[in-house]
Order: sequence, then structure tokens, then C-alpha cells
Amino acid sequence: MQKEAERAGIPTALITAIPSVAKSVGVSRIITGGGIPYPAGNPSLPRDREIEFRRRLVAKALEAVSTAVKEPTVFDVSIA
Amino acid sequence: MKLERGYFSVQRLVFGRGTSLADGVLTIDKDELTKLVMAEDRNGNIASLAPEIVVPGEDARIVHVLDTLPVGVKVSGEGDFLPGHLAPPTIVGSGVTHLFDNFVVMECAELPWAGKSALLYAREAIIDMVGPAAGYSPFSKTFNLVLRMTMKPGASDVEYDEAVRNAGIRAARHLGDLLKDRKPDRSEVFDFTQPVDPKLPRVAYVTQCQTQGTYSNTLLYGKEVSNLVPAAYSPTELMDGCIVSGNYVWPWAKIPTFIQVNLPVLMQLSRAHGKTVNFVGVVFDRGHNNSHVEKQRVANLAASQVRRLGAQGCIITWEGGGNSATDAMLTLQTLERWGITCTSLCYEFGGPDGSEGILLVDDVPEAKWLVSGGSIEKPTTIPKVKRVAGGDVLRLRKETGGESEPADAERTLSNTTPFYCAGNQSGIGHLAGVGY
Amino acid sequence: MAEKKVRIVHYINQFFAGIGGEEKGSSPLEHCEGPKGPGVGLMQQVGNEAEIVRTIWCGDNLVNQESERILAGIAELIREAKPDVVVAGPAFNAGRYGLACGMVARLCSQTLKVPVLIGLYPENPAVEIYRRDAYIWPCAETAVGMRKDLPGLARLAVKLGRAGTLGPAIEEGYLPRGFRSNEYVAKNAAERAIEMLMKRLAGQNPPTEIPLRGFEKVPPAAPVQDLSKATVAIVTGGGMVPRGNPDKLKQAFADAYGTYSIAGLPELPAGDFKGIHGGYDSTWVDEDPDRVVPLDALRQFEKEGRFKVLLNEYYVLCGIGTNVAMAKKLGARIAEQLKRKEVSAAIYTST
Repeated sequence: MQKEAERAGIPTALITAIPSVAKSVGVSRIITGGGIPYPAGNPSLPRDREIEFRRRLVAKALEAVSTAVKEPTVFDVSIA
Repeated sequence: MKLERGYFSVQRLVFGRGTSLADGVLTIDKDELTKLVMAEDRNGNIASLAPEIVVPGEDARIVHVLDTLPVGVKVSGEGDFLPGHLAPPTIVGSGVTHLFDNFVVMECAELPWAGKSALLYAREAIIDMVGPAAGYSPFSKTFNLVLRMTMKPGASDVEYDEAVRNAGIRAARHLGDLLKDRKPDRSEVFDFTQPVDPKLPRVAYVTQCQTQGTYSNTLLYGKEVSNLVPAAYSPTELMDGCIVSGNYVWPWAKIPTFIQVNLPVLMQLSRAHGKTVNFVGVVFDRGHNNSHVEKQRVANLAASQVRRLGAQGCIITWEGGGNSATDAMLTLQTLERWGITCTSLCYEFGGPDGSEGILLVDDVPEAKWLVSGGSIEKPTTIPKVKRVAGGDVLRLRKETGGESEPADAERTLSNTTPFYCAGNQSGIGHLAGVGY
Repeated sequence: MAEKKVRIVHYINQFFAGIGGEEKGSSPLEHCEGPKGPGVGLMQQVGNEAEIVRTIWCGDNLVNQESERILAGIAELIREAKPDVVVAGPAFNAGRYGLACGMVARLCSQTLKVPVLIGLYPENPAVEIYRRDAYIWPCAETAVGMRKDLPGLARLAVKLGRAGTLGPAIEEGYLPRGFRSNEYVAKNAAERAIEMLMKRLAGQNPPTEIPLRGFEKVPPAAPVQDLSKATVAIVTGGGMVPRGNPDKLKQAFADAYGTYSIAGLPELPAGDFKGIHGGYDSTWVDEDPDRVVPLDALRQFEKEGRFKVLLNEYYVLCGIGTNVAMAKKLGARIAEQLKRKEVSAAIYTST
């Protein structure tokens, strides 16, 4: 799906729990997310910390779409 | 360990007065069985139980199928058949076990769709005994005792899950007891205690199960394995039922208990052990891990167990869709990188004629030797049938509100996902994708 | 009773017709009755079973440049000759000749409805383009391999001419066209997997039953130059939809996507939105839909001016079992929407 947006000239970033799959499919900007049932979250964190984690994920995604990449690139965001 | 298995084959299955086995005719006392199972359902979660018989060749369809159990009993050696379930979790796999090779107990019920999870509910599961869909399930060839149950509303998923499983196991144990003091039709001995010719290739088997919460669980010695660390087991432990399935979420992608006790890769390697192969052990692990790092971790741990067994080659199978295919593929990749030769088997996608897009849901560059389990994206038209067991309707499309339609009618299903075991993930089926 | 001889029409190019090389690439469409060039060798292979009733040739440049006109002529010549099968090539790794054979193949399969067999080197670019239009016999890279390739090509031509179709690729030897049929085979998958492993352990290289995927490489789009002026949109494969699933989106095997308003919402409120994706436990995202559609964080950044504005709607489907062709189609439609609404960048989430 995402490659079609790239083809139309719109830079995209994917927040996903499985960057290996995204990489092999050829997605250009990949943010390693929280977990499969919560890609933009992490329920094992206290609520306010989870929101902060989500902020960092989205910030990284915004940074990624503003970054030139040549091939599938993973941008890591850790919780610690 | 060394295990002797004595097999009994059913020629006829009937209801009658008293429960008995004579000359291949298994007679089941329906009332006695019903009373026995219901008496143990102390919380009354089962509103009704109506046992039904469905046999090979019948113009019949079975619906709402949950787990399918083997019927057996340990004659000697420690522990009970299916340890950990209404029995202590004693390590099994030695001595003598008697079991039916072509008779099963099937739990069928419309489990309430009251839960909120979009994954964790029992999707409609169909077995056709004859017709174009019969080959999708191995149970079109078995004599099936269908425990048709209705549930009392108001309980929780955890309770319903336990209730149906216990009902099935109680029925299976009751009938398994028939086999205790009887001479089997044929026997096999699996002896892993003797030294093996060092020139024989050392082969391991990785069986990766699904456990994602109630209704999608697999149980090891009686407990679900959500935080399972992969470990190696003796093949005979699995033959005695240390792995039981409580997985009803996606009918095509599941390995019911009867197959867990008769895993085709494990059985064939066990039969060949000491002759053409040195079957060094089976590793049991769990897929559907929630993040890439967790998937890689489990893959590495499972591969490490295989390496520790001294395997030169390994076969990997898994249970579930793409989320678990990734874990299995990472396991394969780790093993290949360590120089351990692997093969695996997988269902295909590909659209109705196979040419649409990709065939594999996931792969790694090292997965160059795969066997096909057939495509699940083929439409199938199932015929009108004379009789339906297990229920009366097909429950479809929960995500758009859920509809019930008559189960006996002819209909075309656009893919094989509602058919029981259609994904052929244990490799038991003969369906394959052939390229043209 | 002797079987009727299979009638073959053979297509070749100016070089194999003996006219000349590259410099004769514009030589006109011509034909003769009976075999010519490699057709003679082919005839030696088929013996009494078949006969090449007509040979057609054209300059490679001409057929590529004026394909409509030339193919119309070829069609006439083929129809007239009433063949049981058309054979084109072998073209080995020749680019334009390969494409010409491919065009003839497509003409035969789509318009003339005559079985067609072509010979190509597996890496000839024509293979990918015309894979489904013809049975392709894998050939050597150059004509040096002609001798080795003709017997197989001949055998298949006769079989195809008699039967109209061929058996599985792995048995007959042609390049798989991409069609897959579900069939019951003698050994179950477990047996075959063990057999495959034992062969590998014995040092052999058994063929796989399922080829690996190859994904199309799409070059990444240029990055956003000035994020502070950008419009950002959200797309999710995580199946988060308004409660009640108003457009009845499917939990798997998606064939449509949903577009839902987030105008004025500081976050996706639990209860008003629900996860319907059939492949993951939706408990956590039902509790907090922002865990799959991170609206709260995006609104914050919008307020802070990190980017100019968030699109007032988001796009959703359930990404399981979506075959690639459908994913491309839906992805392209969403991309079209994004372009229309002048979105500068999009954030996707998947589970």
C-alpha cells in the first residue's frame, strides 16, 4: 500500500512491530513500533510514559519523512 | 525413552445399550456418556450435550468444530494420556499406550461471540465428509463422535474454554478406558534409548504452536504457553499427549489435539529413527511473538535447542498465519546461518488462479526448500448436504455484525479459511500447489 | 490408426531466416510453406508426429516499431495455416527477437486462441512480460545452445499441439507461468518435506515447491523539505474503525478501505472506535485506539507547529491475507486521495 504513495511522490513512514517484514517488502522508512497488538503504544508502561513513548514514535516518523533515504531504512525508537 | 503404541481401528461406530468394543464395532451408550460428562460440568456452563456420530463417506457436514481429541489410555509407564488435564502433569512417553487410530471425539459448540477481541473468538469451522472440500480435513476419513454442545450464556471465555475442553477429555477418557485390557490390532515400538549408527544423519523437528490468549491457546502439560521458552522433548512425550490444543480462532490454521498426538513429521521421523535417520529430538516453541526482537529471540532460542541436540538437519512447521510465519522463517534463517540444513512446509496465497501477487506470506532468503501445503485462496463450492452435525447454522462475518445461515445449503466460499485444518500446517494433507 | 500430424506454424526473425543480421532488422514480414532455418532442425526432432506447415519471419526492428500492423499480418498468416500450435524462436537472450516472440505469443493466446510455445533464455526480459501468454521452454543464452534446446522444444510442441495444454511446469520443464492449481498428490506434505531434507543432507539440490517472493522495488519518494508547511495524513492497516463498522470492512482479505473523519478530535476516543482486524488481539487498541492510530501525538505536534496541518480524515483497512495485487490497487487509490488533498507526507501503521 505504502509503495503506491511513494510512487506518487508522497514520502511515508511506517510504524510497525515487525521491521523485517517491512524491509523485505521494500518499505523505505520504517519505525520500529511497540508491539503487534499496539504498534504505536506499549501497555506495559504506565499511562503517561506510554503517551511519551508514542510521542517519540511519531516524532521519529515525522523526522523520517523529512530525511532522504536510498533504500529501506529502519529508525529505532527505544523505551529506555 | 521407549514407548509402545497399540492401535485399535474402528470399522463401525454406533450408539447402543452399553459402551463396548467388539470386532471393530464401537458401541457408545449415548445416555451414559451424556450423564457422565454433564455430571462433571459442575458450574452448568454446558446448557445441553447431544452426542452425534458422523462416519466416513456420509453425506454430512460438521460445523462449529472446536478441538478434536484422540481417544487413548496409558496401559503402563508413568502418567496419563493427555497429562495435565484432569490428571497430574506427570512426564509421559514411556511404557505402553493404547489408542484408536481412526476414531476421534469432536467438541462442537456455538461459543458466544460476546468477547470484544477481533481475533479471539471461535470462527465458523466446517468439515465436509464428502465432496470437493472433504480433502481439506483429515477428519473426513475418521469415525467422529461429535459432542454437540450449547452453552449457558453469561459466563466468560475462560470458563467456556475449560468447559468444552473438559467435556471432550472426559468423554475421550471414558471411551479410552475400553482399550486398557485389550489386545491392539497392531503395535509400533519407538525406542529412543538405544545407540544409533553414527553415520545416520541427525535430524530434529521444530513444531511451533499458536497461543495468543483464550480460544487461541495451546497447552503443554496442562498449561497455556504464552511465555514459552523453546525446549526439546522426547518425541514420545508428544505421542502421549503432552501438547493439547485449545485453538479455535482460525479453522484453517490450526493443529487440533488429535494431530498434536500424531504429528506426521514427528511420526515419520520416529518410524525412520535408527534406520535411515537419527531423530535427535523435537523442539516445541510458540510463534506470534509481539515484536521483531521477541520473534528473533524465540527463533534464536529454538534454533539453539536444535543445535544443542546435535542436529545436522531440521524440519520446521508452524501453526497460524503471517504473524507466526515470520517467527518460523527467522528460526529457519538462524539455523541455516549456523550450517544446519532446513526444510519447511507452507500454505500458499496467490489468488484464485495462483498468479495474483505473492504465494508466501513471509519468507527469508534462506527458505529455498519449501514444500507446499496448497493454496488457501481458492474458492470452493460446497454442496447441499443431507445432514449437519454439531449445529444447524454457519456463523459468518462477526466483524460486520455476524450472520447465521443454514449450514446444509450449497454455497461458495471465496477461500478455504473456514475449513478445518485446510492450511495443512502439520503436513498431514495431500493438497499441494502445483505450478503451471 | 495413425495419429494425425500436428500442424505447426513457426515464427522466426530475419537472422534465422537467412536474410542477415542486425543490419537487416527492418526486413519485411514474409513467409514460406514448410520449415526454414531452425525449423529444419525442429522437423528432424518431431519426425512423423508433426510438420511445420508454414514459417513466418520479420525483421526484429520492424515488428517492434510497427507492431500493430505487422501483428495483424502475422495473425492472417497464422489463421490461414490453421495450426494446432505456434512455435516462436528460440530467441535465446536476444532482446528484440525475444519481445517479438512474446508479442506473437500474446497474439496467439489472447486473440487467435491457438496454443503457443516459445523458446527463451530464462533471463531474457521478454520472459517476465510474456510469462503468462505462452509456455516458455528455457533455452541457452545464445544460438550455440540450439542443438541442446531443440529436442525439448520439439517434444513440447508436439504434446501441446495434440493436447492443447501441458502438465505441471516441474514435470514438463517449461518456465512456470505463475498459475497454481490445488491438487492432491500421492505423498503428504510431511513426507515430502522429510524427503526434501534427506536429499539436501545427501548433497543434492532438490527443487523447491514454492518460489520465494520478489517484491517490486519502488524508489523512496523525496523527503519533505519543510515540515512546518506540510500536511500530514494517517493510514492504517490495523483495522481501527468507527464502532459498528459502518462500511462493513472485512477482517481479512481486504477488498476496500474506509475513510473516516477525525476533524476536531484530539485523540481517537475508546468506545467510538473499535478494532476489527482478525489477526491480532484488539483488546489493547480498543482500550486506547491511539495505540494503532496515534492521533493524540499527532495533534500535539500539530499544535506545536511541527507540521502545518493534519488531514481531517484517516484511511483504514485490515492488513491480513491481502494479496499484493489488491494491496497495490487499494494503496494506489489511497495515494490518489492523498495527492488530491495535497498531503505532503503520510504516516502508516501496521500490525
